[in-house]
Amino acid sequence: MKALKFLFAACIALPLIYLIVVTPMNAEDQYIFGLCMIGACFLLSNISRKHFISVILILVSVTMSTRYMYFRATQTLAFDSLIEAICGWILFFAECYVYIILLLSSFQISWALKRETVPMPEDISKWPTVDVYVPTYNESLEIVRDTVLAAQCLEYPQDKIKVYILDDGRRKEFAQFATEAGVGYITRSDNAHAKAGNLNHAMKLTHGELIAIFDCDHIATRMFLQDTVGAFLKDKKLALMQTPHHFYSPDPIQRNLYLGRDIPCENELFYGPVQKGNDNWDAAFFCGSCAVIRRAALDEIGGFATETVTEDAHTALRLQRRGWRTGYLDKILAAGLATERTILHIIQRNRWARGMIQILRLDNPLFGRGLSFPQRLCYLSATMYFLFALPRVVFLLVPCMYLTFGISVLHGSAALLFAYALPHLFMSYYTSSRINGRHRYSFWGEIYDILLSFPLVIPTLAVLISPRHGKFNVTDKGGTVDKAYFDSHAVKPHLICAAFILFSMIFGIVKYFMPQYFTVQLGAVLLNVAWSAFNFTLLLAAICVARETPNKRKAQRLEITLPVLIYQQSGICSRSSLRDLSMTGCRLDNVLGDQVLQDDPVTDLEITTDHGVIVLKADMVSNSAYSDYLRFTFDNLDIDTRREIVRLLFTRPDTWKAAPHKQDNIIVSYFTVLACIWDSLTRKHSAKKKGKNEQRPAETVEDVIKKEGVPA
Amino acid sequence: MPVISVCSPKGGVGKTTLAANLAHVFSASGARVVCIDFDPQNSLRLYFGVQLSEERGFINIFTEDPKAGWIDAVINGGKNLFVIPYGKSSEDQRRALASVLADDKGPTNYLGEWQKGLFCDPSVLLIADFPPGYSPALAAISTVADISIVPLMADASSVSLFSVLENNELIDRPLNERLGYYIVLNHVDNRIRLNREVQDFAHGNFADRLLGVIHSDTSVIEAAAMQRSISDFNQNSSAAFDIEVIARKIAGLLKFDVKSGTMVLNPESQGA
Ligand SMILES: Nc1ncnc2c1ncn2[C@@H]1O[C@H](COP(=O)(O)OP(=O)(O)OP(=O)(O)O)[C@@H](O)[C@H]1O
Ligand SMILES: [Mg+2]
Repeated sequence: MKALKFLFAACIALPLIYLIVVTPMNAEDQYIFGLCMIGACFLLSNISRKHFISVILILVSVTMSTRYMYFRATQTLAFDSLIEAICGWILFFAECYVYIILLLSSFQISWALKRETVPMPEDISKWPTVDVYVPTYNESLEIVRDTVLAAQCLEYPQDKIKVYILDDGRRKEFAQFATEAGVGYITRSDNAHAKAGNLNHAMKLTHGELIAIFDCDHIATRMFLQDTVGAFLKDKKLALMQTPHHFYSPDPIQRNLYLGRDIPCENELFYGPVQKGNDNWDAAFFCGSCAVIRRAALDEIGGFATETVTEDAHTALRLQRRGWRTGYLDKILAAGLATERTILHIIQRNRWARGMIQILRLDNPLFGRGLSFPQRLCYLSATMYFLFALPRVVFLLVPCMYLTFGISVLHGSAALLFAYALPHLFMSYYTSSRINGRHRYSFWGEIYDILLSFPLVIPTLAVLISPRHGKFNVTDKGGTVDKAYFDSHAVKPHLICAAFILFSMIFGIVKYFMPQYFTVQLGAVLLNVAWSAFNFTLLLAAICVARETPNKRKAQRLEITLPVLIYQQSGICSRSSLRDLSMTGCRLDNVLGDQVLQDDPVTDLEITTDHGVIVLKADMVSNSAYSDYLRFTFDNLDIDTRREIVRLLFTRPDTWKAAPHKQDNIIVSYFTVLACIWDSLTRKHSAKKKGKNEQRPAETVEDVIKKEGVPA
Repeated sequence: MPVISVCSPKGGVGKTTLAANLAHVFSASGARVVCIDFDPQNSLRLYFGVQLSEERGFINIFTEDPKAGWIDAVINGGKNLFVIPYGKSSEDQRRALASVLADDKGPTNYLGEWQKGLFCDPSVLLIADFPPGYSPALAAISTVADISIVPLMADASSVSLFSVLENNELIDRPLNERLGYYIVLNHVDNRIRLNREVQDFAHGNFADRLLGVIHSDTSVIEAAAMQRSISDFNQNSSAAFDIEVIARKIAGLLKFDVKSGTMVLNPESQGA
């Protein structure tokens, strides 16, 4: 019945769409038509936020883009000279790429699957056994340690879970730590196939029915397994359950450009609408970490895929070719460290891009066996996305070519072109703002892409030509940025390009105001200057990301209010309230007043948690004795104490729960971009300093009575 | 009137400290409290600002004139707060009291008289402190007490004492006929692993008899030495906080209504 309805709708819609796409119009008519469509969608969109309306908007937007592309293909590809023809065709291909990505991603995000946790069966004997893998290569023990300790805090029957460090670095201190903490340690004699090889090696030595993988900085919350494993029991053909990668440290873009503003970070689009959309078509893919995989499924494809440098996506693709299902649970159950500096971010994305293009070339999802048509489209979208570098650069340069060299890459009047382009551009921005507006604000996607574009051009081409080459590089994490500085090296091509754009804009404006000296089309100049100005803003924003702001704090500090006892040397024990805590220290209300004397120092602290008490030796930061808060540093935490702090800081199920972002507004977003650039250039930090904490104690007598109750 | 007895099979566990501080907490909340010392050490009075040289107590009055009644021994120890010291005693005096208490049964008994005669006001809360282990007074009060609070140390020695209480071995019958006994672990120091293990043991095996814990806190000793209340000495004392929690729980068990700092006796418990 549903299919029939769909068929019926298609019968009506398709001829209509065809008509809209192919009917030529003059500039004036096209303006009117475009504005009417925009107005109609505007109205429609404001009527309701229903999904049905969103689908219609997607449809209209795609239709208008198709109309534009049809116009481009049929009316604008006549050139006067060879150089113009070359540039013109390059631009056309770039636009075709963007158009294809638009089609694919429209399909991807059109239906988001809101997957819920499948509860675990009451009968614990039915719970499958799980191996928890923490692969590491060269990261410091300091980072890996807390991940492992958190894995030990996972709430799962102790006889059904085993935690392993997979150390590809063959480091003694890791083996020693594993023994002390009571987890398994697996290493190997070579490093063949990097992470995939590491995982495959470990698979031969362990026997859990399921494998949970956490990159060495991804600290899991304690309900991770109970939230993800249930689905494997319900669906015997489920091979993978992926959860979001969340970062508790700011990525370079957040730190250097958002400057404290509430803007969705880069990966929120992917770990929101995109993966949920993929999941709807049974095409959610593995992201290397924070996921659970069924061993039986991996065995069937011979373990993790080793041919590409993005073993994760490729492994998922392989599984799906064999008919295994995958799932994506949109619930933040683990958190890790974002790449610290812009240059590292670029290096990381370089690997992702190379890997995804490798898949595109070596195991193209469009062809080959086993995938459903929607799955092919989703995987194609994911892999093709990483070709964005070339078109991005083209879009940046094309208007400059016209303004400086007079190379006209489009045939036809500027007015007509604009009339066609306007509804196409506006509609695609508008729909994506509506659908993704809580996960990605307008124009930011362009900024992220532009930041990566220049550095990715050559790797992209190299891999396209020779896909079998390419090494896996590990992203450095957990570093610090001590001093503010401008990493001009990371954005050198951007700077050159920005200078070029600026020059061409000025040149263009000169041309505009002195038309007597130049032979130019004034409308075209105006259009290209406007286009360049837009490009320049985005490029400038990307450049600002390289203005590294210091990030001195080594340990993550979480605001958390808990009762704490302060032990002084004399034996006096006082109650206070913990206000924030990190792995290296904490801050509490100063309740000691003038009692903190030189001869009665604080020796220990006792933090009361739901899980018992944590007692630790602490050194008071001496200059805090007379301030509102006492600050302490912890020295030499033993493993058990450390595990308890990890449990407290990182493993509460609601640790990473955050309010959703405000819905995007295209215009506001553009001004936000400008404001970010301004603040970055003037080095202003818009994050407001938090005022003094409210002085309510962490726990009152009433709280305790409520918690403990009166015995019967 | 509700009667709280504070006793323990063991000495030096904080009975007197707890009795006195409970009295302070209750009286500060608005209840009228009488605190009575049945320990020949005669040290309870020191928590109520009584001078060291003031050595008379109920035992002196009792032995001089058994019919004199208690009221003469009462000393005001603060707002809403009264203390009846034991008094400096001789062997003979103690034996005389013991023999009266020994056959202290029925409605005309000594304690019963005491209850009726002087403190028939049902809004008065009575807290009695005892010497460690068995004492005739402890046995005698079991007929009139509503609840017995038993401090114990959070160390290994206490583990065996849990069963002493469970089997009513202290006075060979229940410590009272109403709510029974409740254990308080005192001198808790979580820095000592054994301390934590004993707490876990108590939680695991005697959860319904465990009223709470009191942290080991030198503020208690300092305050006692200065004859000040603990929170007067250290406003944020952990022991003072713990004792307040315990006081509230006792109020809950006795069905006291604690409202806005005023402790009101719940009408239904007035029949006792
Ligand atoms: N929580 C505590 N922290 C520190 N010191 C305490 C604590 N509780 C009691 N004390 C100290 O322990 C000592 C013994 O306490 P207390 O006299 O109350 O015990 P007791 O059981 O009444 O002793 P006894 O059996 O001799 O009557 C006192 O010096 C008291 O100040
Ligand atoms: Mg005593």
